[in-house]
Amino acid sequence: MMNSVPVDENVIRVLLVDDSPEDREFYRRFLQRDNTHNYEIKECGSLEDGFEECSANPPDCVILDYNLPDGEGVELLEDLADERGEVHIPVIVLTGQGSEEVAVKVMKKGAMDYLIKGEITSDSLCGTIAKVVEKNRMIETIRRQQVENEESLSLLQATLESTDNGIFVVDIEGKIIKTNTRFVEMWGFASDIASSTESGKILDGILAQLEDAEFFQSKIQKIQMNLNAESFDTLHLKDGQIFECFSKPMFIEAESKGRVWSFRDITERKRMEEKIRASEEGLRTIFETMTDGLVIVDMDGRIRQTNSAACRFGGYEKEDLIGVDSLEFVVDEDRERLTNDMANAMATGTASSESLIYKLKKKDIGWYHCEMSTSVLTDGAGNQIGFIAVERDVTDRLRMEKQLKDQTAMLIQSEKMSSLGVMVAGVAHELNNPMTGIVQYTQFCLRRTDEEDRRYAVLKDLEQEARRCSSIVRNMLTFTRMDVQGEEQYQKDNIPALIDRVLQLLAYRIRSEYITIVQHYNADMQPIPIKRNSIQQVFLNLIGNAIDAVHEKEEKEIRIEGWNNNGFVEVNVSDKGPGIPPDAMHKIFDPFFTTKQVGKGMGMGLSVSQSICKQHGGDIECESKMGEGTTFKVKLPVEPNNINKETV
Amino acid sequence: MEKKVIVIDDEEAIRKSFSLTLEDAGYGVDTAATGEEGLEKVKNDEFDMVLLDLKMPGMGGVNTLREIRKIYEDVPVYIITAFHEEFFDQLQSATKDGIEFELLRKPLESEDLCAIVDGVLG
Repeated sequence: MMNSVPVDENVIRVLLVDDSPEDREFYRRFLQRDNTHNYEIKECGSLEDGFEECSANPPDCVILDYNLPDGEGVELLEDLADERGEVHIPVIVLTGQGSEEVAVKVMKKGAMDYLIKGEITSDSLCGTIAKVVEKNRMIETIRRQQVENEESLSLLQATLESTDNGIFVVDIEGKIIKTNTRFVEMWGFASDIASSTESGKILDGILAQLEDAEFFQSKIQKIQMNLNAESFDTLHLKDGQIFECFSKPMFIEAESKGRVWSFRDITERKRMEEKIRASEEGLRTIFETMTDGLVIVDMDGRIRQTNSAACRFGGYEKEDLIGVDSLEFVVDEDRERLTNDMANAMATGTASSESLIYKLKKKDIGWYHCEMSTSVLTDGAGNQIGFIAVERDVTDRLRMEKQLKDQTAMLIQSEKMSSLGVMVAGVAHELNNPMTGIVQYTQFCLRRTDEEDRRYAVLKDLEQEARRCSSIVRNMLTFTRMDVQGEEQYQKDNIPALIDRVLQLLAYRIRSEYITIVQHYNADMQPIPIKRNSIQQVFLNLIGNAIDAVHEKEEKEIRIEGWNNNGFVEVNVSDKGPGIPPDAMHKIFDPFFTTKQVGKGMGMGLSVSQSICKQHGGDIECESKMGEGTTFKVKLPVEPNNINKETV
Repeated sequence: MEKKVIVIDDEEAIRKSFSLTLEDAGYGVDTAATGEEGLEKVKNDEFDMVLLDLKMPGMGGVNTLREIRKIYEDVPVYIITAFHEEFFDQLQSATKDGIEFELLRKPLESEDLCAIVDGVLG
């Protein structure tokens, strides 16, 4: 029998705890008689040794004598029990005959079975062992499953509670199986609603909050008719919240057990999406409505994107630009410069430090000045993928800047002339009286000096030079007079009356030289806004010149004629003098040009006169024919708004 | 009888040089450095012609002219100045008031001066 092959290859490890070696030997022999199991038998004589052995090397089964020298067998059971009072090693307690109460006690304490000493047979022992080992195996399996179930349940619970989705599970009859806290929170239910099993209340609560309750209700009804249906919806709540709703059937082995409803609050996400959409829309609006042009160019120099302003500058449509090499729009002479600037920007990887101006072609004809600042465009990884150029049409600005520069230069020149004038006037005034004295003193001396006297010639020279000085002084006064008088206001005056006053000033010269003045004015001449003293100066100068011109002529006539013409008063001052040589004509309005002999004039008069007329928005022109005479034509505007504010 | 001219000018060079020129031409010449002085002399003496500066300290040329005209209605007064534009308005109003005068421009030479005085007094 001992050599027979055991049915179960697993050896049953048995621990015999009995203080009687004879009894132990007895049981051992019983066990060895069993031909269906193999046993590995260990023996202990005390509770203490038994416990030690059980802890160190748990057997499959313990045969425990109830009465042991160091205590009752029940103590071992107590020691072996876990915190829940369960004993995981099957223990068979051997009790004395007729002590049923002991048997009850040990069974309560966790023993799996008991045998009455003296009635034990080989079969009963082996059978009991086989029974308790098998029973224990089953118990342990169940225990393990229980633990596993508990674990997975707690995992499920934790998952349910930790998810951000609100979960609501119903069985096939619509009774609530499960809800999580998030679900209760999301829908604002009282926390005790989960404890009710009727889902109707929850459904009503949900429907009451929806904007379109009817739609969702019909959806639910449809789903309930089809147990396998899944659904996905976006629910809009009356308070503005937006939930996504998933519904999935729950199966256990192909049998529908109910349905899981899962709700996700996407209000914030939707809001963000809306924000992004609005911000993109806003950016596009800015892009399209900004007055600066924007052009995005790829690494090949091709235009990828432009806005309306960039198109407008050159009169292009977007289709004309997109996909085209950007250099094609640059005029030839600027192309190399732009290419270099782009290469620089690419090399340094930074935006161009200053705005650069290029000439760009227009679609039809011509070009415009474009001020451009470029930045390198990079992708997320920092690789250069192109350029973004901000453009501005500065054609008008450049023109105005140039105009301003010219005007400033003119103003500076005029300021210079003005301060020079003040200085010259001061000098001239100071010199005027002494020069009159010097000339006359000299002439006094001349009258008293014999012509043969060597001093006579010297005095003559002195007179000559002094006269030259006087003449210069006179011309300086002419040149500076208008500046000395400062900024004069425009006032309405009648030109013929003004000319009369001028003629009065010149009366002595006219009379003493027997000059005839012929005046003719058209009746339509009207008072016009002028700087009276300045215009007087002009006519004083022109008539003075005319008097000089006819000085050596037989027929000493000066004609002054005036009329209205197309918004201008025109006055011609004509003499029948020798005329101006053609090669001098273009220079007569230059300052310091003079046809007069040295000492007779500095040539400031006409230059000053023309300045005055231009300041008024008019002009002076000259016509002259050698041997026949000269006509100066003065033109002054009738309306003050024609007056040119610039000082020319 | 010797004709008498008075030169009223604050500038000594003018007074002296005009005196020399006119005396040589055979005229009697008196001078005054201010309008007030000239007026005093005109009140106390008889003159055939007045040469008057416009820009003078004190009462000035135009006012002197007006005062002289109160004494002499018809004595020829020649205003000799470099600055007549400045005094144009004053002179205009004087003309409007019927006060007569002639204008001469400085600088002025002996010959011109003699020609004028001769023309007036000759």
